[in-house]
Amino acid sequence: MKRSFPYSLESLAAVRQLAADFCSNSAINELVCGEMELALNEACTHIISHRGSSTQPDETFHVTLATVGAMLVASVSFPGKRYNFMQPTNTARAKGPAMSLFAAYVTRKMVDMVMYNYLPGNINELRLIKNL
Amino acid sequence: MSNLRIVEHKTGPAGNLIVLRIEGSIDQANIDQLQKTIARVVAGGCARIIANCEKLSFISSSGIGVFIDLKEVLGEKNGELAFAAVTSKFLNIFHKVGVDELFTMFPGEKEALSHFNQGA
Repeated sequence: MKRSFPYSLESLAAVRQLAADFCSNSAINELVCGEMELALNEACTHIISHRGSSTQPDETFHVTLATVGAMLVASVSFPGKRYNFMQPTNTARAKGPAMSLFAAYVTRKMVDMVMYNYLPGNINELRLIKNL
Repeated sequence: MSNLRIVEHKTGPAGNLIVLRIEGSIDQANIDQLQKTIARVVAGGCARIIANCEKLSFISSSGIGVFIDLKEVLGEKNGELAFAAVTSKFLNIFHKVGVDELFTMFPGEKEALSHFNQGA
C-alpha cells in the first residue's frame, strides 16, 4: 500500500489513517498498529517540519506499508539531499534539544528497527520495521 | 483532517479541580490548542487536573511531552495531574515510552474524581 502526501502537518492524520487501514486489512492487532501509527507520525512530523518550508506546494513525500514475512515494514521516502533525521525541527529547537531527542526516542521505542537508506536518484528512505 | 476537541468541566468545592475531556487526535498540527488550553487553566489557578482520554484517538510524542511538562508545573504548585479512561492502546504506548509510572491513572473519570475528593 503506497500513498503520497503534501508537506503539511494536516497530512499527519491521513498518514496515520493509512497505517490503520493497512493494519486492519492485514489483521494486525490494535497495539502493534498503534505503535506503528505513532512511529510513522513522528517520522513524518520531522520531515514536514524540517523540509516543508523549502518544498514546492505540489511536492509530496511517500509512505509505503507492507508485510514482509513476519515483519510490518513502513517506509517514508522523498527526493533530495541526504537527510538527517536526528536534526532538531524548528519546534524542537524552540523547546530545546530534549524534545527532538524525545521524538527520536519514542520512534525507536515503537518499532524494532529503524533504517535509513540514501538510494540511487537521491532518494531518502526511512524504514520502520516491527516484528509481528 | 486532524481534529482535537477539549471539553472543560470545572468541579471541586473551590472550582480548583478541572476535568479535560479530550476528544480526537493530538499531534503537531494542533498541539498549540492543547498547550493554550492548559496554560489558561493553570493560569486561572487550577492545580488539579484530570485528563479524560476515553475519546482520545491519538497522541504524539509532543502531546506526551505537554503532559510531562504539566505534571512538573502542577507538582510545583502542590497540585496533581491524573489520567482517566486511558485505553489499552495508549497504556501500551505509555508503558513502552516509560511514562506509565510517571502518570497517575484511573479506570474512569469517576474513580479519578473520587481520588481527588479524598485528598481535598
